Amino acid sequence: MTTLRDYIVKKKKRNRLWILGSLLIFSLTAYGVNFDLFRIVSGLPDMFDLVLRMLSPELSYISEALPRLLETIEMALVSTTLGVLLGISAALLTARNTTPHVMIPRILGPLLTFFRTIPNLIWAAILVTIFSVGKFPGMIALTITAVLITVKLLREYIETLNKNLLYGVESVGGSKIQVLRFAVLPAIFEHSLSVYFIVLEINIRSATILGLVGAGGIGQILWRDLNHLRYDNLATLIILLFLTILMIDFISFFVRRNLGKFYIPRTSIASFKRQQQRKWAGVIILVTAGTLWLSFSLDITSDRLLLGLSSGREIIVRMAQLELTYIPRLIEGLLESVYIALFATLTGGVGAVILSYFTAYNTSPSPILSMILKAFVNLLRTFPPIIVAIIFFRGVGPGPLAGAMALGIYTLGVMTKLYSEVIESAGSKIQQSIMTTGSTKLNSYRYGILPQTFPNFISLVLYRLESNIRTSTILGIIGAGGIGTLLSTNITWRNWERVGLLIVGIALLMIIIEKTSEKIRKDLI
Amino acid sequence: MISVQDLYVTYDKRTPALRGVTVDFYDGEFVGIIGLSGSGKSTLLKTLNGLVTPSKGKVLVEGNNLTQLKGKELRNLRREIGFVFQEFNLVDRSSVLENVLIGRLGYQSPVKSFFGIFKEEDYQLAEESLDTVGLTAKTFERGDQLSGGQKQRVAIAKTLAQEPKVILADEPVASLDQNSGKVVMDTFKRIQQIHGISIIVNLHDVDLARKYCDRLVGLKDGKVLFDQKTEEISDDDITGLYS
Repeated sequence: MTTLRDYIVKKKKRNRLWILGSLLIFSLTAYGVNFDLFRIVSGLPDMFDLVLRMLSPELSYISEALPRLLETIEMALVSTTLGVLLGISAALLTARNTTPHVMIPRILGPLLTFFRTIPNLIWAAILVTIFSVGKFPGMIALTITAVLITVKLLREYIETLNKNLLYGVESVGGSKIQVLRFAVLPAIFEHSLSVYFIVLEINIRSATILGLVGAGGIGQILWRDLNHLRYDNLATLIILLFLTILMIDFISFFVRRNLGKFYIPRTSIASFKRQQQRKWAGVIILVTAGTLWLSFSLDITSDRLLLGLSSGREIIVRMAQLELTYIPRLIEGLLESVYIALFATLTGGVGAVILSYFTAYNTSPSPILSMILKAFVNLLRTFPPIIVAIIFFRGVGPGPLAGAMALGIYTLGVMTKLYSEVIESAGSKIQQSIMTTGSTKLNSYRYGILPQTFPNFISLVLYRLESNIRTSTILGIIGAGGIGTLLSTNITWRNWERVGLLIVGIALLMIIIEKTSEKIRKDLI
Repeated sequence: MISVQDLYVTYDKRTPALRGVTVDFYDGEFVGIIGLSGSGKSTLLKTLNGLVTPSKGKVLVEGNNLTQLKGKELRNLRREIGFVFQEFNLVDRSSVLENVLIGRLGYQSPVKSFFGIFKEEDYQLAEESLDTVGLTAKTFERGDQLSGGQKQRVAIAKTLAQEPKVILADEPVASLDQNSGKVVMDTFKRIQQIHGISIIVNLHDVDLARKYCDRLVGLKDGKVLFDQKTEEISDDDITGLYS
């Protein structure tokens, strides 16, 4: 039996172990990303100067940037629409309860998992070498991502549908198609629309950076201005991007919130029938218009497409012949990516615990502070880390440190937003029960809400770690460290055997991380 | 007439849900199946329209062995047999009318119904069915705006729209309060008496079963314990069933 004394000693030991362990990992990863406080501090004036210069945006540049911006939005919209539609079909094919044949999920499932591990910037980089510079490769890359995200988000939802719901149509003598049309599709409609907007939010962010590898959109001029040190132009672009992303997020939030309420009641069977007819007329018009738009916006000739497809086949064949002698470099690159991701997750995560206290409205010392911080946190997570890394180049030079800091800031933004929401939904009961003992608000957080929600926090951290590792593999494309540097050089030099090996390496790493984090999350609950 | 002969159902190879059930259901009857949860009531009902496939035994519907049927033939047989679930299983987002029209699917070509095209008589049947369950006023409301009892009556209307000879009901009132439960059971009784449709219902509430059913089948551990007219059943039979 443990005595109270034992307990106190053990608890102290465990606390020390935790702190020591975290410090150890932190120093290790800090070493891994070449963390150098002196370099950061001495770089501060430069970064500050950059921000100052960005405060005077070149407004006349808007007229040149606007077409590019519209192209970016178009890319995001077209690829999201196409990708989600394909993704819904793929999800229906691979969900256990709706699949036409049991073998389909077994074959398609692992394939989709493999493809999901590869960041879309890598898709875009490869596709650009196949189909040449322009928005076509970017759109394909975004569509692939959209399909994969849709399947992931939707398949589990379909699988949790009540079996009796499907029985409801089956038991009247309905065929498989009728079950799909009258039970499954209405049941997933709302969720699918919500998925559409989630994917759109992701794709508009991705679309802004695809230009870095020449895959169209505003990223292309962003990259050019960076290389020409036109920070006034850059500022214009960043403001435009910020407003666009904000607008899309707002529309998405509004639609997702009001989805459930939308319903037009009918008064007679005749008007019901008319509504059905109008609905189909609407669908037909939408499909025709969509197809027309698609054919106009895909700027590629059939000759170019065929040429691309044949060279694509050659590339795939060469990629399959993995160059195994390249493994040491692969491991080196992966390790640096993991260091970047771990460093960013740790610093961002710890920062988020502290910042969340001030951001969640039920723990924050003042409601005004809470509101200001919420806006600030949203600002932090608006920009893709790869763009923020560019700003850090100015201070600390290219390399893993810039990447790690950019990713850390993004992590801080996302984690604070998510965790402060967890704190808010944890409610005030625990907090009140502790405040009644006469403790302070801070202590009610430390001894009540924090231990209560800690498992949620860890699970959020693990999700973020997965996503950070994925992002860290692409940071190298602009020179911010990690395996992306190797990838982009080998894609440029068309060493496809090496690219194949690198992609397999990334996929393996991602699968290992996903499985481990899944296991930890399960054990936690 | 539905005739069940020596029926076995095994879900996960180890624990059989039904172990040799033999029972007949005649036209126009109101039969209750009672027993503890896990006694196989639900499984028995689901084998009667082929939602669950037995591992052994026969289900003869008008002489056709349902367990042998597949595809089109199975679907044609199913539309003669209505099924009402405990959890209603309405499509929440669709209107009441659309939910009732689902009952007509067995009579539609899959392509036409995919585009939501129904015949004039389908609409008429849907209206009549809603009238029978007393919900004409709710025709154009959304499924999720109804109360539990109303949802169950919509489910019954959907079943009526398929013009069945038999209605199977799996614990139709278990999720309802007493009052709504009574309205639903009265609806079943009326359908049996006016339309001559036979009703086979699973119930865990013995009092309710005694009040509404002509005949009671007691299931215990996947076997038939008794099968008698309601008035012939003694309290000892019931005690034996639940011990």
